[in-house]
Amino acid sequence: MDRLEGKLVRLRPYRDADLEYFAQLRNDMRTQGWNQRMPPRATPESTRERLEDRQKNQHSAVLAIETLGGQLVGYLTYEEGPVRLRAMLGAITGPEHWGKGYAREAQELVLKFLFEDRGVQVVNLWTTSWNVRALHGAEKLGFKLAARLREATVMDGKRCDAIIMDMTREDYYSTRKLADSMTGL
Amino acid sequence: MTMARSVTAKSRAAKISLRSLSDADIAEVHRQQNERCPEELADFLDMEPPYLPLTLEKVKSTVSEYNRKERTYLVGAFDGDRRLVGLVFYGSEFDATWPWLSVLVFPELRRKGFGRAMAASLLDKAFDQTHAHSACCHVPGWSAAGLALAVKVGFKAAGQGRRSFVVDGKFVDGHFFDILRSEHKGAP
Repeated sequence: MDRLEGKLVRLRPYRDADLEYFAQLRNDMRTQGWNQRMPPRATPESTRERLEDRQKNQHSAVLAIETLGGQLVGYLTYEEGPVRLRAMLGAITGPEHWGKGYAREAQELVLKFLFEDRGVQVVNLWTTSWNVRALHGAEKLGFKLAARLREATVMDGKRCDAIIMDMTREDYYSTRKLADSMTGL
Repeated sequence: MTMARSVTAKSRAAKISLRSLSDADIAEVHRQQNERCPEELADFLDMEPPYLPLTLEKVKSTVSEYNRKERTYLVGAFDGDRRLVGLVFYGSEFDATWPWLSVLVFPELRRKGFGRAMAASLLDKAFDQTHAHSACCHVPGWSAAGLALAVKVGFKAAGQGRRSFVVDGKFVDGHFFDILRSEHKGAP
């Protein structure tokens, strides 16, 4: 997959010029959506190493999210494993771009790619009980609560739960009123 | 925490020690994966379905890869006769206070208390030797013994991930469990 385009955003392979912004997002406590115990230590170079390492799996990708006008607003990652069975999805956008529908459309584009082109059975997403914005966004997309791991992470100096959500093929196709051409097991 | 050193754990039924796998142990893991428990060991070693026999080199490289990660150990569990009875995994690469634990007992050695001793040993290490705040495990739905063991050693059910595995043409859910430091052995 080279790029995906919607009505608001385009997903494309990241470039060196994107790394500084990606590092900023990792260092911003508001966008440290997972665990604020991790120190803000990302640099463009460390971000490059992390993303390159992540892409060693040929069935994974790190994609820059940009507006159709070309403004970089965040990035999205997915990783299949086991291949064509499960995929993990994650997205991060800058606070200045929240509420504009960019993250939601970016995730919708990748869900379409994973279910319709890759044929995965289920897509997972991890967030925290602290991240109400992400939880609501995931529910709107059709994700359901799979598991709540108590006090697994720290946000705002307090322990909070890790939340695992999932969406099966049936969830995806039924909520979007689409027909699934792949027969089930 | 050093897993390479031999550490003994006791339970009512079994006594085990945990240590790094030698080449001969890895050959035994390979034999077990090829002959006795291909799905379980393939899953344990993070392989892709369909679960096919793995080469010795693949098993060796996978064990080595895990042990290169920070705060991550894939080591053998040995009984009092120094016989390899299974594998344990301790992974806290991402967050030292939140380890993920797994145990696997080879099929012919089950129902002898080894699994419970291995799980108890891992929990002791997590809470006595590190600053772990909680620990988690992910048990395949096909493993009734694994699901029961998790509860026996103090884990609480945290939810299920749908279609986590495929076995014999069927999807199987993965069950998540967690335990807090305060719940381990009734710790204060």
